Amino acid sequence: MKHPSDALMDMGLEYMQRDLRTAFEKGLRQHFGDFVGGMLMDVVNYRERLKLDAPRLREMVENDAAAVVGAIVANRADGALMLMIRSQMIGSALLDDRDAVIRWATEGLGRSRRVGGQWTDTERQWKWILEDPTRYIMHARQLKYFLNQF
Amino acid sequence: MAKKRILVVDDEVGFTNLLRLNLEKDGRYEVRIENQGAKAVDAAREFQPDLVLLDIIMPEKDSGEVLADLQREPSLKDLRVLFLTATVSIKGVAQRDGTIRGMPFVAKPVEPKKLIRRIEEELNS
Repeated sequence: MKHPSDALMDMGLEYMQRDLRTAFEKGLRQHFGDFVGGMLMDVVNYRERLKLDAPRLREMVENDAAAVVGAIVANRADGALMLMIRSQMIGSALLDDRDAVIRWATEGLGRSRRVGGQWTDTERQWKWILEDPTRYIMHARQLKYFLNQF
Repeated sequence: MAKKRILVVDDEVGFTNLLRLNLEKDGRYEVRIENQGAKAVDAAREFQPDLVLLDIIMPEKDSGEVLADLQREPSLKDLRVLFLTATVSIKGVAQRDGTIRGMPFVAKPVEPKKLIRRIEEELNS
């Protein structure tokens, strides 16, 4: 069993991490604007411990791709699939794979309408990425590089 | 011996044309191409293929929907389908023994010889 002071330490760390995360998101939104900053927060939340270009990242993107393909073949169209597609797009951006970013963003855009609900609101995001995939890749990789300094 | 009928459903026109050339050159296949997923069922109904090569991600209508439509069609419900994907790498498909969720897959780009081997496996399975 944990000593009470350790539990307090854990709780303190949790609060601090939450506050820092909120402050970081606020900073991103201030720096890039609300729309792009919000989108980049998804990059921050994506597989936090993995470094850019890490073989493990490549392997995870590959494994997740198989899961997405399986879901598409099974004719699924739901929020879980949309989250997987977004993850694939972020992972591909971090790996600097422009073609894959375009492929996933196109897929996300097409499906956001089909899935509906809150995903309809993401249409603008997918379009922004497709408008200039290189810009998105640069922001995502710079951000990940910065985060990996810590 | 009657040629086996292969229906290729993929939105990449260049890829499908090349695929047809390679398959027809082999001499064992009669190939029909459909570049629009939405027209795949009509094409299959008319062509009555032995095997469909079906691209996973296509605009308008993708493989999951096409497959569901094919399976709803009484004359096509036992049709064999071999999926094509550029999303998962050749290595990724190989690591999964050529199947994802029990469905047979081939990663694009694929060498003609390897594809023919895979087609024969599916046709004889």
